[in-house]
Amino acid sequence: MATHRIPIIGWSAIPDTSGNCFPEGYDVKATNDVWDRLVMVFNDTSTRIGFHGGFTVPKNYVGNAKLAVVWTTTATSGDVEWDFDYRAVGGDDAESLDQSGTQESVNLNDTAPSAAHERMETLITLTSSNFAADDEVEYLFVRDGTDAGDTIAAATMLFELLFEYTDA
Amino acid sequence: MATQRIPILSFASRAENSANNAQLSKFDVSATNDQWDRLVYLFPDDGSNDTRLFGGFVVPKNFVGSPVIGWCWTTGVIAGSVSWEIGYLDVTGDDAESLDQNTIRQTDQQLIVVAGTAFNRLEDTASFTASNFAVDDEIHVYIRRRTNTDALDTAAGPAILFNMFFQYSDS
Repeated sequence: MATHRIPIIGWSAIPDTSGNCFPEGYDVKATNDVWDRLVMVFNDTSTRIGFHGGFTVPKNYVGNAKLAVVWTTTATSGDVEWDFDYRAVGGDDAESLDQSGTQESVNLNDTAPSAAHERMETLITLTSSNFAADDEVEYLFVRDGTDAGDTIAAATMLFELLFEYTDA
Repeated sequence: MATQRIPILSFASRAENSANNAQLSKFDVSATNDQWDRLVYLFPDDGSNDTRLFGGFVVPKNFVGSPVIGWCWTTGVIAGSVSWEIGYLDVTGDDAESLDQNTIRQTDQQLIVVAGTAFNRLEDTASFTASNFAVDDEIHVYIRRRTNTDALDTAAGPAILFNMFFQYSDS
């Protein structure tokens, strides 16, 4: 049994309509401006803001499903509240891709880096039995400004969103 | 031990924020047959400016060694050379190392003669130091066409990038 991670921000990723979550060149908030790649920005608001996306569960999926979040911010105090809402849809002509509600909504609170721009990585445990190989997973990844635990007074930047699992 | 490849052009991919840069373009703008109108990145033949594309990826869980960054590309011209440069920075840990560093860990420069037939697929690779990479590292990466800084870049047309990949060996 081995552990794998796959990136899940793909071509289907699209920000919500808030205007407070958006892709941006890292040089806008960085100081050194050496690596001008795109990151997903989540402004500091009092609302839930995020982006939608989708991915396919790999063929060798067995269990231990987790979500790895790689992020940073310019702030060095406070916490961020990450939410991950999703539904895994399986089969061929068996289940609707257009269902109401979520299959699971999970959240995690992570503390700001000890120095601005340090790489942060946190893991959110998912319900493994919700996933099966080849499922299409629809998701919404959110910074939850309505949660009292979201106290970082600055934008947060998402570098990677990864689906972690074990194979046989 | 097996050799693996993962694609590394992703949502993080972005042309350099300058007046002259790599451009996202439909392939039919450059192609003749216009059968496959997918997106590609164009690196213009610009003698005054290098053109660059940034990106990022994560080192896979089963990484052991032999790291290579490769790129699949072509041109519509059949004479001259293209001067490429690949650079990267690895960032590790949780609250241990900055993502915003004024550092490039390694670069590799290669002068490649274009294909003898227009639009033939070209594949080139750059090998890097294995000990610089660790499982789960965030990798900042760029690919640059050195049209300004290398006089030997003589292909009189855009270089067209189709893919980039990270190749490595697992256990």
